Amino acid sequence: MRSKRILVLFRKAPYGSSYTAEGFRSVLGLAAFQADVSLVLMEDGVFWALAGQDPSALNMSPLDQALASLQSDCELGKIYVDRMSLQERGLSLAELIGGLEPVNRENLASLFADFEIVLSF
Amino acid sequence: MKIGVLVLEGPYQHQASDSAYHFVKAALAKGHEICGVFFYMDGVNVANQGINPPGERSLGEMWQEIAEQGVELVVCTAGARFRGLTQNIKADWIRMMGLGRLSEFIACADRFVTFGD
Repeated sequence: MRSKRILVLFRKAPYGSSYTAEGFRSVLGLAAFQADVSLVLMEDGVFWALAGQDPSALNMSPLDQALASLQSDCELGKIYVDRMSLQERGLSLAELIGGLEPVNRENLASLFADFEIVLSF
Repeated sequence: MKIGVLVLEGPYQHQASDSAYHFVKAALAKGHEICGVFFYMDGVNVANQGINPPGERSLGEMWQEIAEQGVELVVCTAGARFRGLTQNIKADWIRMMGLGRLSEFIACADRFVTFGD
């Protein structure tokens, strides 16, 4: 089976719904079966990368560490983060986990076009 | 064209399952091939064979109609476990499989469409 280049969008904040956690699980699963999975964090999805999360009061696992583990444990492509979404939320790259690839909004369309498959969480 | 579909929201709470149904029906009518529909997150709830909406459209029957046209419908095994959807309450027109099947739908597809929030 030929593997395809897959781009997975994350658009929601990490704990208010199961989108981030389930999207993360799907990336783990797809990375096990497909060669090339990259991520885009945009809109409230940029909060996923905010470093130092402590959701212990919610009895949930810190998803920033899960994101960082993707970088170390999977043969992942890049993790892109939308600069405009950061600006809109008063966040800077310095507050996020390392190893992310900032991308300008005007370049997102060509980035999407560059991948054969786009999934959206 | 070969098309794969991912459904992330459950029936009645959200339009995603309805929209995916209408999309798949229209794509089939246009002669496209549906590689498969993967139900993930709350999307898995459509596989409950007890769906019996009083006075409303039945999304269970609607998806069964799609399955009867030869489209493979798959409910995520892990998502089903999270929601207590066991084999004995799962409808027989939908299969329970893991993310490997999703990756096979992706491998098959020219285009892949997500229906979620």
